[in-house]
Amino acid sequence: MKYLHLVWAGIWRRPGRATLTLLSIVNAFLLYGLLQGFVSGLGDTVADTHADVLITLSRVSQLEPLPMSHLAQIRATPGVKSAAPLIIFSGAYHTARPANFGGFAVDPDSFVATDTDEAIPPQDIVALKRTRTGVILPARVAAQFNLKVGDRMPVKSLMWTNKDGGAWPLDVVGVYASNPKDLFFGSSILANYDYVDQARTQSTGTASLFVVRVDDPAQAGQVAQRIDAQFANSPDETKTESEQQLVADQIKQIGDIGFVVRAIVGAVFFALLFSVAAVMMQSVRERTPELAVLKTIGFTDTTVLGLILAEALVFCLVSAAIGLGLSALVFPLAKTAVGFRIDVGPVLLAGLGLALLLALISGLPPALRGMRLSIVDALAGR
Amino acid sequence: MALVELRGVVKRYKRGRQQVEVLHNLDLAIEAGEFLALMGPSGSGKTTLLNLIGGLDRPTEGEVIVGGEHIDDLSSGELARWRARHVGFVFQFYNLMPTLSAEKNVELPLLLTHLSGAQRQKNVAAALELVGLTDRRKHKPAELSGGQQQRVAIARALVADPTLLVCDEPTGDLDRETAEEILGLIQLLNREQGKTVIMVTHDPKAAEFAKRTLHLDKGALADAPSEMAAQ
Repeated sequence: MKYLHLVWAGIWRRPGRATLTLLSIVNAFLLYGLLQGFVSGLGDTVADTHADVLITLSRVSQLEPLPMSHLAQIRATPGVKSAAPLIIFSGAYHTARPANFGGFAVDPDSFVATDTDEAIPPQDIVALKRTRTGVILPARVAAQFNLKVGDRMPVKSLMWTNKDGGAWPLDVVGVYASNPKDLFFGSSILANYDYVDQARTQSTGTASLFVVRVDDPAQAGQVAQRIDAQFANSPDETKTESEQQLVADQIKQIGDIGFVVRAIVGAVFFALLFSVAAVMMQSVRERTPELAVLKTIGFTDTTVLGLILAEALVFCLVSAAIGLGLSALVFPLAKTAVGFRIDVGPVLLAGLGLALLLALISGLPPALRGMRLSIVDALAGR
Repeated sequence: MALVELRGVVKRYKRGRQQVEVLHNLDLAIEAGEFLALMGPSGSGKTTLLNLIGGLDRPTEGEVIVGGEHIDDLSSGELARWRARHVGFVFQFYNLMPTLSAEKNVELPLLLTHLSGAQRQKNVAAALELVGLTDRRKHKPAELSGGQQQRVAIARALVADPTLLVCDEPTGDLDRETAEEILGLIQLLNREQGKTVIMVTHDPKAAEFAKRTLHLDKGALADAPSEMAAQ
């Protein structure tokens, strides 16, 4: 610690150059933090899905409905614990600022039996069963539209037309805490299956998908095959996947994001490594007489090596911490904008590890130069 | 017994493919408490001799014994630690750290000791008071005059209480009046604190402050080495 002022003074010997270099490192680590945070968020989203939950959809298309007659067969499949029919019920609530949200029409009892997160309070489920036009809102949607229990919420469905020809007049019966870990049901509005199915103008007696909970997560793959085998060669063939697989497939549709991010970050750090190393080398070259004086006074070769390495470490770690700190400030916004949470800790730790590596690689050549410096030659200006 | 003793010292440098012998079979003894001036024309080997005595360089042949210790046998690390304990250096161009204040420059040799922060501050304050720069302790070198910078350099050389003060043209960059002030200060340190001073200079007036003057010419001493001229 007693050398810290010496290290700090060495860093800021040329304030203009140090500031520009600091900004370039901050910028690189901000970019790293944002991109790596995004990738990490995607990975966490996949990892957070349930291993014991399967989704059964039409093999033809995700939008093709399946007959409700499938439900009994699915429930009777060996290894299935419970199954629930769902109608996709995404919609819009027309206020001064119209906004869309995700939603499902569910059978309250079977949904509660199948939902593994138990985010919805039991009394809300009871209320939904009691009120045919009831709807349970995630807290985020309730806050967004300033809605509370007892309010009427006319919803314009993006998929289903009400037989009355107008909006779906839903009554708020409950508000549950949003669960960002649950990509499907964590932030969706939940209406009554019976009401939506009977009041819609088409596809009555069908479900958009079935959510299936299995007894043993390790057997999920075999159970999925058994379900699909029952409906093979029927007019309504199914495709059953684990929730995890479904989420991973959706993410893969965007492309290999991990590779793209690694390529960008790799290119940025490759360029940064050379520029920081060049600045460090130039800084040490300029200070040759000063380093010679330190050695004259009695600083050993290894102490001089340590001082220069410490400069590189402090400079890179402080710059990286600023960049990563700025990116961490953006993470909560990413949760709102992209819809998934980002585990900040691992991203920041990996970033600081990268900064450490950058400091060691860029600082070692000038540090070795300082260590090998001949006092007599340096003082004589040779 | 002499504080500094050189026996049969030869120093050769490699300049390109050629070997240049700068010091030839030199013998010298400097008693403790001396103030010795080393004079001679450029290239006579004055600074090389000073570097050998100060432990900044090693002889090609011969022995350098300071305070009974054969410093030519010490490893690089041991030599650095020996310098920190026993030698204070004063250069022609002050060689202060431009980014550090006067007091932080003076503190540098104490960073190598086990003294506490408070004790270091105390010693720094005493050294700056001795050179008359207490009120300029927070100033950086660029904010000080040449004479003041050299005073800071002297305070830095003294602060760890070395036995030997090695000065290479300490007044070469100063005007006459300031030079005399600096030389007076060095003389005071020799007289009052008993520091052994070895000073390289071109200036005969500066040499007058010393108790003894030796002349080097083409790598050899022109004066008898053990003669104490001004006891």
